[in-house]
Amino acid sequence: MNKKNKKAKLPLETIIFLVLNLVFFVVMLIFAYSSGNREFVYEQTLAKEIALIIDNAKPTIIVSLDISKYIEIAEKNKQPIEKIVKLNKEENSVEVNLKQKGGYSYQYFSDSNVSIVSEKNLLLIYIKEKK
Amino acid sequence: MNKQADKLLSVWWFFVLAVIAGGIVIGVLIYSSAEVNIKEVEANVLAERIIDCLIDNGYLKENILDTNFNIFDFCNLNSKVFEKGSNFYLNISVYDSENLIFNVSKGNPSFEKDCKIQEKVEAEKFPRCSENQEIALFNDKNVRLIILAASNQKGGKISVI
Repeated sequence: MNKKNKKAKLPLETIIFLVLNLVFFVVMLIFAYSSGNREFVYEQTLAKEIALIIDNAKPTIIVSLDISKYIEIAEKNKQPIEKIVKLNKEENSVEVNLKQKGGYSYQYFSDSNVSIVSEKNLLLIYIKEKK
Repeated sequence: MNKQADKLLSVWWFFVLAVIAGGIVIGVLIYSSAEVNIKEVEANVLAERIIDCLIDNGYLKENILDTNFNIFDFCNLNSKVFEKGSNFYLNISVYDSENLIFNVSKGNPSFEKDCKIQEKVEAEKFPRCSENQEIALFNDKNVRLIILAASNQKGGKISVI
């Protein structure tokens, strides 16, 4: 009888041990996956790239930028494409929002007349002389 | 004895898992907190923009000595960005042999000192600077242009509200 009890206890301990290990690896995988999707880094990169393009450009010029990877992230977050990049003329800054809430803004020092149009996977940046 | 050894092993195993988890979390936090630093590039762009705007085919533009000369209008820069507490700094000096004939500085003046410190010590939160020297012709004489541009822009998160 005693021997039978001992045999029954052993698999339960092993199962608990295995379940805890499984839980650990699942939690770690979820954490790593969600960290890899950090929009903040992408928002920062795109905003800074656009600000540098504007500051470096000599008017009048049209610069086209491939933003397909940013569109993919925005679509995952249900953010409309036309709302990904905005220009804040008062602050003279570029605002990038890859999710519905929050975003990242970066100032440019050029006083050119800048406008932005998204066309499919491209972002067209029109840099004209200020009238 | 065997059971005790098993228990000891499982405790040790969970300690190992905790160390692995800690390592992954620290690694991910370091990765996600890393910022794309373009301050130095920005300072270089600002300095080059000023050079392009003031020098034309090796000649310093004469408008520079006009009494109503405005660097913002002349070089197409936004004056608001260079207001008090700005993230940018710009200093232009023009020397005719040893005499200073023109000097203008805009933006955050404390960056000038910070730039000198930054030359000697690597400080992460300090502005990044770009100092350029150019020789140009002005009234048939050689003049020396020294341009110091600095940027300490970090950018900002847009508030959720």
